[in-house]
Amino acid sequence: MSRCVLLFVVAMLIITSAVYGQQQSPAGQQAIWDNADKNKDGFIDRIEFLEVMTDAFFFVDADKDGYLTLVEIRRIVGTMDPKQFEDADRDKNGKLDIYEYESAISKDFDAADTNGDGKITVEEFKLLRQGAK
Amino acid sequence: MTMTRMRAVVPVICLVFLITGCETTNSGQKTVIGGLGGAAAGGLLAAAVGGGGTGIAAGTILGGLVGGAIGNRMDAADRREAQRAAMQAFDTAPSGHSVAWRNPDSGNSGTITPTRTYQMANGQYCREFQQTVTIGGETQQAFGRACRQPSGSWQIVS
Repeated sequence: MSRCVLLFVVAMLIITSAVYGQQQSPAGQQAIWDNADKNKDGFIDRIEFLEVMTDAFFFVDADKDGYLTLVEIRRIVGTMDPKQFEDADRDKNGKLDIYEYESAISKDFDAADTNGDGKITVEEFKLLRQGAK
Repeated sequence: MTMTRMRAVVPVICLVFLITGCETTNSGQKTVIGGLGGAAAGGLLAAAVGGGGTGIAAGTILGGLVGGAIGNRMDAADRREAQRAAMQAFDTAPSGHSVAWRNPDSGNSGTITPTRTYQMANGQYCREFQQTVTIGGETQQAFGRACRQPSGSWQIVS
């Protein structure tokens, strides 16, 4: 019986590690990093971050109406706390325009920039990506 | 190890494992109010790379892509291939990523590379792009701006 429990725990650890490994695929991370680090200086600055996020706004806006809804964001990123969407939706019309979006994203940049030097390092980027699905 | 001790140890192992997982996810992240959150921001960063699958296919491109002398040397099939590539690039290519076209009959080829995406005040999407066209071994480069029309088509505006 105790052997069964041990096997179960080990199996769960292996499965969880495999899932975690898939989420952090080095190739995917590298492609995302390369796409954002436009000037290839080894950092993602605020302008690069906002530029790539504007691309994302366009792609995530599935109906191309110029706004992002919670449904459209969730379709791409999986789960998202509705409270955070509501906080970003300053005019409370149930959708984010580009200005609300960039304001929110800029705050996410500040949160990701843990040492406050105005740039996201590789390590800070990894921490940010760990929150993604 | 006795069964009783195992019953006590296993939940502790699981708890430690769960706590460690939470620490890894959140360590180093500052609390943010008004942002979309690390998970969303991380996912959106990925969407900017893999945007191809998230868009809606648009209609035809209005207006000519290539002008001048080299444009005059493109035949109808070249123009068709170039327009198809441009439509794909504007709809699905992240900025900095090229979509290539080639006409096997003429041997002519080219690329379309969106370089920046933005919105006009009215919400209309525009994308600046760089274009190359190679005809008879000669390559020319041009820059332009295309804006998405309400119909879903793209119009070259400069």
